[in-house]
Amino acid sequence: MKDIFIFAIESSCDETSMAIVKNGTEVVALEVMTQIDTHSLYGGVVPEIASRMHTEAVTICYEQLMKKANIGMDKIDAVAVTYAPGLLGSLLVGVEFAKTISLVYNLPLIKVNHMAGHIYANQIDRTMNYPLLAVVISGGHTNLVKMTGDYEFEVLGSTLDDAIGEAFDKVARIMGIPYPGGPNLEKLAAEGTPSYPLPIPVKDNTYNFSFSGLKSAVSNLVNNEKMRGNEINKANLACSFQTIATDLLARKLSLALENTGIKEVIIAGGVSANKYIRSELKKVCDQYQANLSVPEFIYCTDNAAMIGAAAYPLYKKGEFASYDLNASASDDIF
Amino acid sequence: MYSLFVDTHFLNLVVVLYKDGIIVDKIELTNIRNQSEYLVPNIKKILDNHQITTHDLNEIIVVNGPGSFTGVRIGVTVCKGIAYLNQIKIKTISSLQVLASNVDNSDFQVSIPENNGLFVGIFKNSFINPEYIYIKKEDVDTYVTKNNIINVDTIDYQQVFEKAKELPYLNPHLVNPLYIKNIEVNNDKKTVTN
Repeated sequence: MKDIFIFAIESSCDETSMAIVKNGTEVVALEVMTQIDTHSLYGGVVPEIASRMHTEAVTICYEQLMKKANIGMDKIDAVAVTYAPGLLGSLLVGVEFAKTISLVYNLPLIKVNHMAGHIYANQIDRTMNYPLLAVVISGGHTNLVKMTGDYEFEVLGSTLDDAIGEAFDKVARIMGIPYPGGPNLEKLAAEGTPSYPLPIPVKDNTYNFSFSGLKSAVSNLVNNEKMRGNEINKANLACSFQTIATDLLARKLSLALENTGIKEVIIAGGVSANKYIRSELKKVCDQYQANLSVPEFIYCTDNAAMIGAAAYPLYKKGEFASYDLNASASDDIF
Repeated sequence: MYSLFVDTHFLNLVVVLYKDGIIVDKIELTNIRNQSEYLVPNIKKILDNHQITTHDLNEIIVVNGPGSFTGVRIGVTVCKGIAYLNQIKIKTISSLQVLASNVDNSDFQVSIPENNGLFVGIFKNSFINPEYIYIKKEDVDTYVTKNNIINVDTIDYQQVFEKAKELPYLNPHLVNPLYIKNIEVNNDKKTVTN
């Protein structure tokens, strides 16, 4: 069978990324241009600045990628791009550049959902075996999803309020931990012990999640200690929060493994880069003799390789987009 | 020798194809919200009409603002992409220079409205290097009464092409939107200058 090479673009937030992916599983080349240093000056991603930087970066990112890749555009079979969800202005730059490549090289265009990308990051250098349970954890998502085949999603449970990554970032902000809050909170937590008592969320038999109450508890604790003139042990508080938040993920995954009997688990989304969460979910999987797949670290955060991986099943099905494709801030696959 | 002109700076879309410096086709859409849905389809349409592809283009002229941030980015991203990928010569022209190319004068101002404010181009003996300013909503009335701003009703794209000859070609990597207005960040005192 002929090898299929997909050129992929991702620009949904603060990373301009392009990749060439072979057969949906092998990364031929990957380029990621991050804007993190710029946004850290403002304590978070500024959408208009992100869009401007994507526009400045597109052709440079392309050039750097093609220098790394040892194949030319003549070998490419399709162009894939993240069209949703994310920052609209940022997504549009990627979408328009993808259309341009498609027009210039006369290639089919494939629209890919960013969250499908995070899931299919588990297809890079490995294989997803169905049925499986996907723990989708990012700045905008917290879902427990059952997959029975390519793009066949059944949502078992979702967050009732904040997404887990959002909660990590908000708690980091409350505690005065610098941007990017989530990863910095994780680093701090590794030096602490879970000494602060925080409420345990969603103690029921649903697959739902909730992080808002936990976040408020941290906020109240910080304020109360401040009023009393007490110093907060930041490492211990970060550790306490991370422990309770991760325990919620572990409990719900454990419940799903128990009830469905499924033996394959994947973790997807930016928060899957969190090492503590990885190791705790691994313990749960071991307990149920289930296989756990987590993308390699570089494919956990936003990158175009995962978009190329997620585009492959769509290419095989012939699901192509037309040039009137628009970006969407909120289109969801679940 | 084919040249392509693209303008998406405000809720509009203009794609003009020139052959040997003469307009041979033009697509003009007004009052469109999602330029993303229209730009590449219409570039393809105009090329198809003349049985050529992007490879047959020799020159691209793109309007790089000022105007709607998103609108300008769509035109600029597509044009720098086509130019880079095909190694075609590219130049930018500002939305105010487009208006100015239709004015037969050497010392004048033209303007483009934006969210009740005004982008103004001050042309004094130089088409290539005008002064660009942004007039805030509260100052617009005073500015308009004190200055002679020429109102350009219709744009002759042949004239735009002739004036654009004075503008330099750029490295596609450096083709970027022209931002005149500062943006407020997080409603605090930090602003982003361009």
